[in-house]
Order: sequence, then structure tokens, then C-alpha cells
Amino acid sequence: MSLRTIARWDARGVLRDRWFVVVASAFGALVLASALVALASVDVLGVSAFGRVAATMIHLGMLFIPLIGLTVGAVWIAGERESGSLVLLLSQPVERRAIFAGKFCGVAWGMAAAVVLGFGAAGLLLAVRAGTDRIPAFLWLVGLSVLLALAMLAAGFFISARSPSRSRALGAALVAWLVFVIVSDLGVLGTAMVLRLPAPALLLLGSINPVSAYRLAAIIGITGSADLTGPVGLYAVDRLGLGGFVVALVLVLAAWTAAGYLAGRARFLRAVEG
Amino acid sequence: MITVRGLSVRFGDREALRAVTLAIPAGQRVALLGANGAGKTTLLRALLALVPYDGEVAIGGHDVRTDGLRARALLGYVPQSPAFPPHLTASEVVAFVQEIRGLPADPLPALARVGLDAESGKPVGYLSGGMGRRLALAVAQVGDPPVLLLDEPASHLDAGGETLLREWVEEAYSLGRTVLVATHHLNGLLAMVDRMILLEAGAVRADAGMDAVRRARWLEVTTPGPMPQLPDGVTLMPGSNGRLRLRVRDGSLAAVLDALGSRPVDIHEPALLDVLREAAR
Repeated sequence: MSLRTIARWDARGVLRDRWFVVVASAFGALVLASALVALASVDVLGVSAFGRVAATMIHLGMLFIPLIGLTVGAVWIAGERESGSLVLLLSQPVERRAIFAGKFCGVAWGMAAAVVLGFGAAGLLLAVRAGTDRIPAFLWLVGLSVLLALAMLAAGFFISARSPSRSRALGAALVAWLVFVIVSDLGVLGTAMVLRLPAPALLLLGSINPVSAYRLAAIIGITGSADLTGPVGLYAVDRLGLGGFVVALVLVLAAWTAAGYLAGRARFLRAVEG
Repeated sequence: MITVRGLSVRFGDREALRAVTLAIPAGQRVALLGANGAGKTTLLRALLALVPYDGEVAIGGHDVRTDGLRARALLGYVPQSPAFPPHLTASEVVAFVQEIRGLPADPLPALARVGLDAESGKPVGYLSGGMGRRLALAVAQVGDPPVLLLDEPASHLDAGGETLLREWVEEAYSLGRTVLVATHHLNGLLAMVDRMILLEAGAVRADAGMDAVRRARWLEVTTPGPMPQLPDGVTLMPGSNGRLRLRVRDGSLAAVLDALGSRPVDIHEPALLDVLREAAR
């Protein structure tokens, strides 16, 4: 009961959060714009609209979803702790675990809504203009995006539970975003070259990053093969099979969600009694 | 109603509370006094299990660490600096807490009790400090908890707010609530409480009922020497520059002034905390 109440009020809160609204709106607008551009090129060139839109959506998702999840998650608890408003909840007869869970569920609902709405307008446009045969692939991409949002949100909540202030939480979230989105792939490449890593290690490093896992799983889901996933994907499919590799990638996203959530909750509970 | 045994709280190297032990029976109004940093807020936060601590803390017989839900269900809390989720309005804050406590959301009567009914639709970020404190009072009353913990409740309140606070505490007392007020502002406090506890450097330095405090009160009378024949209830205190310093119990002042005749006298009341220390001796 308390968990649901907190989740409902925090979902309302995240939808009123200015930063969330601005970034989520920008994300939705860019996805819609990319769909419009792609559809225009279909009319002119006759090329596959869905493939173009999907590629753009994956890139937008890789940039925006971690940014929204990490920053909103990071300031959510740290900001309330810094302002003192968290005490309002902590002084009530509510389980501390339910507070953390309720807050996570509430913001996760808002994140999922932003992703679905952001992709939804573009999906509707595609369905009307380019046909409905690729709807399953489109829904796969939306589902993966929600999973990535949850993983990033959990990482953000972990940062939030550890951070003494909103500004430090935000700083840590931006560093994490850089690492997940930009530095990680370069780091894997550099490490592989310098250390001459064996293929299994390269596979592990290349797909353990949730953003990379999202990209690989999305490409496979949309194209139906691992041809565009590079040597990591090809090697993984060779070892695990296409289905096995996709399951492994989804598990990577789920594991990041669970690890971030549990580590954040443990840190949150350590700061209080009862 | 409130039982604390051997309560210690550390923040890094600093010991904020040191082996505090006290018991507050149901229905008592207690002032928790002390300078800034004495440990008043930390003690209230420990009662809510908001800080890790050593020792035992129980509310209504429920240990706040192992049976925190039942313990916190008995508590209403007004923090030192009330803060609320910024995206909520005043009525939403009260409705939220009502729902959390399993009550139907009906915030307007609670807001009207603290004079905030006209501000019910305002986002909390637009409320003044005094309004925020009134909102905190409304929140603390949700569910009519039998124990009220108030941390510097009078700060930021205007004259009307202070009157409202006094009435609020009086009403709580008439309903049999236990009230623990942490403050270092003593104005108007004497009439509101039954007992005073003084914290210094995280430890209880004095603890006395108001009857004992009233009995222990004295006046200091300073006058040029020599010493006349003094009535009962007067103690000679160390003086300086040939002046007499007399400690005069309540009720003896007229007799002392008679004995001093036409001499010039200075009369002053000692600090309340000194009286409390004396009463607790």
C-alpha cells in the first residue's frame, strides 16, 4: 500500500520535474523528426524507411536514455535528502525499503512513459506511412529502450543514495554518462589492442556495458542477424547462437538494473535505522 | 511513552549524543533545551530512527529500530527546517501523508486548523518560512499521533503563528498527547511545558519538572554593604567592590527590601537555565 502510494506520488513528481520534461521532450521531438526525415527519403529515394528510422532511434536512445535515467535518478534521492524533504517520508510509518522501492517504481514509470511516448509518436507515423509489417521489430526496440532506461535509472539511484548533495550526484551522473556512452567503447578498443585480449574477454568487455548491450540487442532485433554488430557480435553468435546472445544481452540489462537497485538500496538503508 | 537508554550517536569523530537516558510518561509536555550543537535535534532524529545509534529507543513500548513501523505510527514530527517535495502543493503534501498513513485524503480541514486553507493550492516552493512551518504542523497532526516531536517550532513564525503554536500545543495537551519540544528560544516556553531537560555537549545536564523549577527560582539583589539583619530565604552570594549580592527566594523580596531600607538596590532574574540546573541538583 505504502509502496504503491509513494510510487504514484513520485510518478506524478517526475512528470512535473522540469529537467525530466525538457530532456524527455527533446528526445521525443528528435525521434519524431528523424522519422519524418526518413519517411521523406522513402518518398524520394524509395529506400527502407524503417531501417533508417530504427538506426537513428538506436543512436538517440543510446544518447538520451542514459542521460535522462542517470541524471533524474541521481538527483531524485540526493536532492530530497539535501533539501530535507526526505525526512517527511522517513518519519512516517513506512518501511525504509518501501520508500526506496516506491521512489524507484514511480520514477521508472515516468521514464517508461517518456520512452514509450517518445518512440510512440514516431511508431504511429511509421505505421501509417510505411506499413505495419515492422511493428514487432519496433516494439522490440521500445521494450529494449525501457530496459535500458531501468538499468540507467538504477545506476542513477545508486549514485543518488551515495551522494551527499544534489550537485555532487549530478556531477557523478554526468561522469557515468560519459563512461557508459562514450569512454567505454573506446576503452574496450584500446584495452583490446594494448593487451591483445582473447576473444572471450573482448566479448565480455564489449557487451557488459548496458549501452553496448542495448545497441547490439537492438541491431539484432531489427535486422534479424548479427551481421552489423561487428566482431563482438559475430563471435558471440558463433558461441551462443543468435537467440542465446540476445538473451544474454537482455540479461546484461536486467543485471545492471538489479545490481544498481540493490546496491543503491543497501546504501540508502545504511544511513538510517529501522 | 518515550524511553531512551544509553543513547549514543556519532558523526565521524564527533559524539553528538553520549549515553543519554530519559523517560517521558504519556501526556507530559517536555522542553528539550540546550545551545546550538547540544544534541537536541539529533535526539529527536534518533527517536525517529533517522540516524544510526547505539543504545535503546522505544516509543509506546515499540523499539524504533526493530519495530519502527509501530513506533513511527505513534509519532508526529515537525523538523527544524521543514521541507517538502517541491513538485507538490500544500494540500497534496497533506493528502500524501494521509494516504501514507492509510487515511482517506482530505487535506483541507487539516490545513484550515493551521490557517493555511487559502494556500492549499500553492506549490510548497512558494510558501514562506512561516507558512512552511504551519504546513509542517498540519502534517504532524495527520492521524492524530499520541506523541509530537517539535524541533524549534517557533522559528520563522510571526506573532500570529506563535499564538497558533501555543494553542496547538495546548490542544495537544488537552487531548493527552505527549509533546517533546526542542528549542533554545525560551520565551513563552515556561507556560507551555511540565518539565525541562537540558542537554549540553550531547549529555543530559539537568532534568526537572516545572514545579521544581518554579520552587527553585530566585532573584539576585545587589546593594552597597554593610550586611543588615536578613530575613529567612536569603543567601549571601560572593560580591565585589564592597557590594552585597543576595539570593532571594520567591516571596521573600518584600521582606528583604524592608530590611534594606532606603538603600539603592539592583534586582535581576537569573537565567532560566541556571535555575533549571539549580532545580535539578
